[in-house]
Amino acid sequence: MLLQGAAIFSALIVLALFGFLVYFTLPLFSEGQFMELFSWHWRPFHGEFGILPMIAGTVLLAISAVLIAYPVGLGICLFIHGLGPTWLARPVLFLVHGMTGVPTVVYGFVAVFFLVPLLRTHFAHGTGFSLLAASLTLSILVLPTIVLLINTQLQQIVPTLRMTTEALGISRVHELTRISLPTASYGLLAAAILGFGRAVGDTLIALMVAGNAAQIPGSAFDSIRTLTAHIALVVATDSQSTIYHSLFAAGLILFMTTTSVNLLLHQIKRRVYREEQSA
Amino acid sequence: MEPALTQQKPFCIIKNLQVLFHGKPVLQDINLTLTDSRIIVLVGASGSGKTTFLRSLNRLNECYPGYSASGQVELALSGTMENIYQAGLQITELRRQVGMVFQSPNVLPVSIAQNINLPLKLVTNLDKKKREERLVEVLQEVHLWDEVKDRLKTRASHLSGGQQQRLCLARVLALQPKILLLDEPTASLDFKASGRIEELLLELQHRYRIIAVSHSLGQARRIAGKILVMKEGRIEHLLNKTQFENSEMLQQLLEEVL
Repeated sequence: MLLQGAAIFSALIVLALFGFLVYFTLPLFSEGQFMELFSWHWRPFHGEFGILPMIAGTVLLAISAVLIAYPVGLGICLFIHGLGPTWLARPVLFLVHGMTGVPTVVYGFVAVFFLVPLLRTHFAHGTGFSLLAASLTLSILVLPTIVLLINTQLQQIVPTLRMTTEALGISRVHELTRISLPTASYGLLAAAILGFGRAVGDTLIALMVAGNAAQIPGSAFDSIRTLTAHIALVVATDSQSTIYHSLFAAGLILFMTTTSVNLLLHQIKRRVYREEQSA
Repeated sequence: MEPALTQQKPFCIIKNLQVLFHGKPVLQDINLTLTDSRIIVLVGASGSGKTTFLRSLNRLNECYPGYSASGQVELALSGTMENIYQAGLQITELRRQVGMVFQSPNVLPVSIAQNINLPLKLVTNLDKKKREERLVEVLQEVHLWDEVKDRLKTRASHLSGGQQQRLCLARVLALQPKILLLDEPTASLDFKASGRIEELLLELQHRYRIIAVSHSLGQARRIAGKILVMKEGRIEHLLNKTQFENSEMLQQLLEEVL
């Protein structure tokens, strides 16, 4: 009863959120400003409110963060499940668990004071506040999500296979890469999708490290602005006008992205479940 | 075809073998020479060290925590007797030559064909054509071919328990082992499936050295050439066929140890 109530309550909140976002975006439609949103120029003082640079920034940052974090995360999982020494597996997993508890602002802070100056001096290109700095920092934030998801899958698979493969004379590397990982394909995919969702949703790292220039970056050393950072920045400085309404459009896009990520995961889960049932 | 196994030459010599887990002895004072070309069956109460004994022949005990051991085990692998505990021994090669079938069928989470093909690919250097030939050969050897030839691509977990166990046996045979270790291979099967496995083992004993753990005395008497009776980590008796076919004597011995 209580659980049902809680479930209905949270579903209502999500729906209300969606309705709220749509309601506030509506004036853009009625005032014919909607198409203006989809321009490459964010020049509010010239009456241009394009959020395309922010959408591009968000996608670029999220994808590059996942591209960095994913191989590292996969490597950590393989290390835990037999490529590394057994006695190190638990401490490593413990460390990754610990990373989930670190406040995001700490990563941002460290990046601003170490990573950004490092990039600035080593590459002598711009200020250091860049797509590269943000994606490196964000990859650390996303890493535990990826590791823990893949690890959960491998934990269900590897112990059941280990003695079988050992007895057949199959090496650990082969066991993991040729049998366990293919069997864990759901977890591998889910980790990538969820990592992406987490990267899209993060605000603070992008805000602190990415430089926040509303532009299309020419290289990894250029500054970018994400949708989340955009909302945070504009809210802090303005609360009226079309600028303000454009935020709801940005919010709506973010909301729909994360919702699609969750729906996608749900679909995959269902398909895997059906396959298991028929197996 | 390999030459028939000769009876006289020993294929397994164990000297002063002791195996401990977390400092507690599980196997003690094992001194044994096995020459038989017929199936050797280990019997004994649970906890008497039967499985640990089997695992000491393919060094699988090392995969469990708290393991330590002393003593020597020599097996006839590539023609000569080799101490399998010597430093520098290729453990994956040892396990290819000393195949093991587990108590409950442990098919890999892949297709029927891949269950045999994948280990072949990873452990041997046979080409694709040779692997396919071997696949058919071993599936025929365990009399599974006719049952699965039309659905080699389906998941192995779709097979019945008895079929899965025969597939596991075929998977081991495909690697062309010298010695087969069977850890209660029929424990999880029904009466009929057990019978088929027993018949199969009686056929295979002419081509492989087989050491099997059995939970059933009846089974031991049906398939064994020799029976090893274990108690509290030691080998109490080594009975030959005339001894264990004398049921009174067997009964007496078993009451003593079980």
